[in-house]
Amino acid sequence: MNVSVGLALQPDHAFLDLCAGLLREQVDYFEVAPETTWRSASPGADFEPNRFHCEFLALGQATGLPFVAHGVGISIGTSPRDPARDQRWLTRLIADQSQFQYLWYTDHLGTSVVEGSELALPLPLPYNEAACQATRTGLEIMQHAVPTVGFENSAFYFHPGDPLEEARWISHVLDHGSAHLLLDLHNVHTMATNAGFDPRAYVDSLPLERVIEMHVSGGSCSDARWLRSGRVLRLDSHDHPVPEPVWDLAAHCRPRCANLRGITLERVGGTIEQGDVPLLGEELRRAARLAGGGRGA
Amino acid sequence: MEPDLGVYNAWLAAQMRGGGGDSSPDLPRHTAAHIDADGLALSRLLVAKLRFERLLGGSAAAARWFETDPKQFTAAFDSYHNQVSARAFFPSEEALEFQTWLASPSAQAFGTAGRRHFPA
Repeated sequence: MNVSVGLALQPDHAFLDLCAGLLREQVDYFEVAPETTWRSASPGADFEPNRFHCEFLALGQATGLPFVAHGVGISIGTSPRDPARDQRWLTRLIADQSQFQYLWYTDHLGTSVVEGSELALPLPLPYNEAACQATRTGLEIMQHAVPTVGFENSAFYFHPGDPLEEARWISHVLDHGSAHLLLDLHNVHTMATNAGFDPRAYVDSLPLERVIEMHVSGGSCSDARWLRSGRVLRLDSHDHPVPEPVWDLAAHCRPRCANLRGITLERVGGTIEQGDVPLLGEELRRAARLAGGGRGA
Repeated sequence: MEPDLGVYNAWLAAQMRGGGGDSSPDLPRHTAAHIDADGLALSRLLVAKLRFERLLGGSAAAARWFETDPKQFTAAFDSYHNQVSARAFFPSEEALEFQTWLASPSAQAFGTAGRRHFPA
């Protein structure tokens, strides 16, 4: 199967302008966080398209390239779920699917809505059957909008158990059903750096044959003044080039990802200038070589 | 033994609100032993940071207040974050929540500054 290379689109005109050449010439698809293309007129109101909704669509039409969705808000693992909140998401996603025709739709493992509080940050769930069922329910809900769904291994900063147990639990979650795994190598690197485990041991416990997409990105370190202990932790901030350990980990996994369809480079807006664009281009070419194809290879 | 999901969610909500305390349920010892206190604190900080950014992104008035008096605005935000549960997903919704809080008795300490930046 041909494996494509994509770039995560940012709702940021400076980013889009700087990356215009890369978007036209070096990627095979665009990754979109659907929530970044919406706005809300008032609390509880239906989501409406914002200006990036039509700009991203126009980019797709101009290039003929497809879209994949990587959400940041449906909160896969929330339990119990809020049906009204889910409906708000699904109403907009179903409408979007008729336009974007997302090839697949993923969101983050964990929960970002806890007891009704919108925390925005994916937080870990215990590695138990109830959390497994909650996750599977979230994935089923996503399938109402896009048939092909999955979740990304999130970058958690604390773990309700042995982090290596999380990888085995992920296998269990994916045991039944047709959901996929978006394998984020920087998230594994971040967690391994902070928690002190072997990242290869983590990925070797994952069902790599279920990986539909890989993410590669860079990060940064927290400020020592943030924590009373003075400790510095690695952050999954997507604001620096992809570090070598992440490329190494991706190469380690790639041969066993028999059903991989895309490798996506992530970089947030506001973190690149004109001088960074050639390096982004080189990262896309490296991703294409890893993929074994792609336009930029 | 893994924690009951309801107990875990109650614990997590309490931790993200302000670090637990008497109202926070206990996790099973096996689970609690794995929790990295620094990672938990960092997560709490990131949740607050995301909400702060959401507010600034949704309110030009809040952004102006932060620009003119970052110390006072940050103090106002800290009070807001501690008093009002996060219910907004979008910046515009967060802005409305903040403005509502600012007009409430709970925000009395910031009344003068609030009225200056958020005129009725």
